[in-house]
Amino acid sequence: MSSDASQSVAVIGVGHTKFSGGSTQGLRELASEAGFNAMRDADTDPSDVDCLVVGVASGAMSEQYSPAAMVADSVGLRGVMLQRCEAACATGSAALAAAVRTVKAGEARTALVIGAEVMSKRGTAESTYHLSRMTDCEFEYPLGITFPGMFGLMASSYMNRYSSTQEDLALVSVKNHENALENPYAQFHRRISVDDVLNSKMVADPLHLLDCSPVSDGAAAVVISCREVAEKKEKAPVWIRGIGSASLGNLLAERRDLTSIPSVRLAARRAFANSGLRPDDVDVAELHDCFTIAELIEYEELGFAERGKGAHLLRNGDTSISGRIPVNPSGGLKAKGHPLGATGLSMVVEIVKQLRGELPAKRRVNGAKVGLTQNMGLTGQYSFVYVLSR
Amino acid sequence: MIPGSSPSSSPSSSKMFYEGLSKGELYFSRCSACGQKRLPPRVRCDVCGNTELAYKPLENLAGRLVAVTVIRFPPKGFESEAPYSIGIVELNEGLRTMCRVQKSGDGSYPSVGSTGKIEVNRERQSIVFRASAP
Repeated sequence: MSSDASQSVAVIGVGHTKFSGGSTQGLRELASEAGFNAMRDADTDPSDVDCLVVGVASGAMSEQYSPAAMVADSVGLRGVMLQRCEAACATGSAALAAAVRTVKAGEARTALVIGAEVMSKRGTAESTYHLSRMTDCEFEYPLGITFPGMFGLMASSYMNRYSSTQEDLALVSVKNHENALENPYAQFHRRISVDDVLNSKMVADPLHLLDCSPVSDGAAAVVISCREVAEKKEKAPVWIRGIGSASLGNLLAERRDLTSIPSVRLAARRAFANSGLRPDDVDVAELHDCFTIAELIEYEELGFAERGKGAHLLRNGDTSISGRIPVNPSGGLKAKGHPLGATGLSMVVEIVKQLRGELPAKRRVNGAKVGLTQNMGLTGQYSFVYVLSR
Repeated sequence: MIPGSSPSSSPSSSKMFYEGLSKGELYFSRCSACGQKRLPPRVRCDVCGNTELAYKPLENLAGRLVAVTVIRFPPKGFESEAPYSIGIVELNEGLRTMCRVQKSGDGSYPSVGSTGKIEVNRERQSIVFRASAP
């Protein structure tokens, strides 16, 4: 996308519900809470919204097919441009990208993006069924593969190549659980140790239960606008400086290298090229830790660590809140929760709050000026990276 | 040049793959135009769009495990089989496939780097990797 200043798009408001493992509320209530909170935060009247993009990954899990209409209704938006975007676990980022393009094209001045998912209504086996049906239904799903299984395969290959250990993976979870303690929206507020991870049930070897993000219910929303609208607001806008997205072949077995996720690297390269910024400029990042192995590989794809050395960052405390490049100060998918459609937007909500400096001291990255979100769907078939700045 | 997209006279990829398994064969495709090999077979080359592909059963089913996991929390419908192991095997002919992995004689699951061969189960239309005895 062009970095022409006249086409700049800003995030002017954010909203977020509590993420939980069993909300008493449904898609309608969660989406409207996040949506209205974002509009209030943006000081935007619903009548000023021109476009609504909805991100819900699985209509089947949320028990509402074609959910955008219900979501629009829940925030009282009628007459707006309306669509749904879907990119599995990167659904929220895909929805935001569609909204940004609409604003850049001049078709909307203000757009609302709501991402939501209700995953807990059915038991573990049934939600696992719906998630597993996102693998290739002809050649992967019939084997009984699951997403913990897919990332278990990648982890087995990574650990074999780099002689890394289950302790290395566990460090991701320990850090993200620590960060979530201070996030009121997080699903888990529980400090855990490496031993807790290693002693938790094995889900898909070598991944334990505490290596895996949970089944979650929740919603997140952002209001974006063109420069002209953004600059009239009282709150300082947070600019979307660059968006990068990229895809990857569908069958995991056809990848020559299971220890890397090339679409993440490509999306990041594109986002940095669009933003005119470099990885060194990033002060705070929210990464897609659907499974602990993913965060390690992402450090490497984003250029924060060399190949096979992702765990060194954790051992050195580099990615802790007070470290050189804090990652997942929100608690990440692991501890904050991962309602699929909400996740990409939840990352943006966190970065916006970090850049505005409005978080409590314990989980604030002091002086952060540039933030990054990295969100992926499936095992990287959909990748998105956003670079944001004050 | 992309050769356009004439309708393919072959059945679907999955029909070709699973019918091959029911005959005890693991079929792959080779594009007559660009030479791309695919397992499972494609009916239209995903590189160049060509629909003239050669279908052959793999002659050598020996290979090496490059990734392996054990599914302990299965999707609905697979509960009675769990736990079960799934791996990615690199065949000596160069192609890779995902498949179930058989337990070794001592009851453990083979680890990454194990060599062995893929066996085709005709009744179940499935393939399983069995590691060679060490």
